[in-house]
Amino acid sequence: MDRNHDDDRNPEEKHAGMSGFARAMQAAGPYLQASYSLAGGVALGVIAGYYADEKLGTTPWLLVTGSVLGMALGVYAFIKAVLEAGKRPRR
Amino acid sequence: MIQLALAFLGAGLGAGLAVIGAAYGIGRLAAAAMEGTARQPASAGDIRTSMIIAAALIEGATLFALVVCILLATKAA
Amino acid sequence: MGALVRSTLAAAALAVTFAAAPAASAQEPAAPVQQETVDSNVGLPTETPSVGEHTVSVPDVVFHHVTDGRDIAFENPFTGATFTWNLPHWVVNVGGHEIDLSPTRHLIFMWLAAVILVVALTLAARKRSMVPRGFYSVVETLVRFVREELAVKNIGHHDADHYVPYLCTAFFFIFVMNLLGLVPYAATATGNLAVTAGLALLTFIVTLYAGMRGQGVVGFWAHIVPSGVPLWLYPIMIPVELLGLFTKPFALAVRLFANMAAGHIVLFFLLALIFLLPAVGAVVAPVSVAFAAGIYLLELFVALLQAYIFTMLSALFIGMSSHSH
Repeated sequence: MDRNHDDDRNPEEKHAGMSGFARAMQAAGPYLQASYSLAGGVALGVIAGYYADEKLGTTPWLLVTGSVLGMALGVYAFIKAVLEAGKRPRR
Repeated sequence: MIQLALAFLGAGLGAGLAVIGAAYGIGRLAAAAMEGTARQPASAGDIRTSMIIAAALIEGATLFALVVCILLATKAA
Repeated sequence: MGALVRSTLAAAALAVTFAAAPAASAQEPAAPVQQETVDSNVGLPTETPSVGEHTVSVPDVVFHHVTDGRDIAFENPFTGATFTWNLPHWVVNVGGHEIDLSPTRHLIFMWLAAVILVVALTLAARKRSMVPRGFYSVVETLVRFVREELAVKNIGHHDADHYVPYLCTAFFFIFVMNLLGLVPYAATATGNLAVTAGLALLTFIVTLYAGMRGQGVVGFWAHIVPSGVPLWLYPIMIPVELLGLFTKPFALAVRLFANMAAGHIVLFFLLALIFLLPAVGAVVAPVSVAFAAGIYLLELFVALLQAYIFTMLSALFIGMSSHSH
């Protein structure tokens, strides 16, 4: 396979040798992590609501409120992460 | 009995729909790869590598759905 | 110091993967599928004619071969003589709780894969010279592939050599385990969620190590939660971000497990079609065997591909984690 010719630009750079795909994934990393935070928030809300339901024995309402709160939390974390990723200095 | 039948039906339909999604996605991926290779045959190797990686990632997502369907079918009893 | 870290990392990779598999034996082997017999003449019969003294149902046989179990059975296809090795029962008493650590089928084949790897690679590396010949050149091609195409292209020249031992371990181990599953009467160790979860856990640990090495121990954990979040939200945000961190290794584990398990299930069910349609067996058998042979060749390719995908994604995650800032 052809060597990566981006190395000729900046051989001392720490990313020297990385393929284009890897560089792209690394640039997209914070945004990917933001979407995982969204999923994690929803998951946390659902799990917390489910276990609170089991313990307190209430009807599924705790699960519902937990999941709604989880969605809100996930969206908040997502927006915060995307804003911070946009503010980071880009090469 | 009706729950058993519905569970198996759900598992079968779910697996079928998951395969439709995966096949459509990988089909479009292959089409884009062919077009890219046709435009610039010199980068065929890189395009092929990226295509295989992306296909595996798409298939990974499909297999999540498949695992859920298998769980449904085996624990339906 | 660096060499010591690297070699202990590679050794720990093997050790922790051994420890992960006994978790599988703590669970029951998957309960056999209960299926009601179909009383009308239409529909697939689930009971085969008596085999010996007992009747078996087809899904039971298929899942018995694919899932974990407490015995390894060999059968002579010509004479029908069977030989079953019932695995021993090891129970450990820890603080009043009984932990079942008895070896199961998948664990035995995982150990077999590890022994094969250690013996073969040690023998191959002993004949090192400037001009490689024989088995050593094959091994060197594969290791160079992992280093040049996977490690350097995803982590960069600067740090790649630090992680190559782990990536080579993952690649060869998964490849040999997948290949062993294709030998008749052998089991696929990677078709067990506990084994793939152990491997994904190792990748997760190496990713954390790479992050802490690239950004400093304090810097890594301080940047998990995005800045600008008010302080009173931190107790909820931290579990959210931690759950988000676990998504990637979870996807790694399920991808490898589902690919291997589903491939073997498809293979067995193609052959089981012969028994599910006993009336037209003479027509179904050649078609079914032909398809099964085709799927078997595809499984050979998938064995290599899944090892490559796992290692590539591990390298990608390591690179993403160590270069974050």
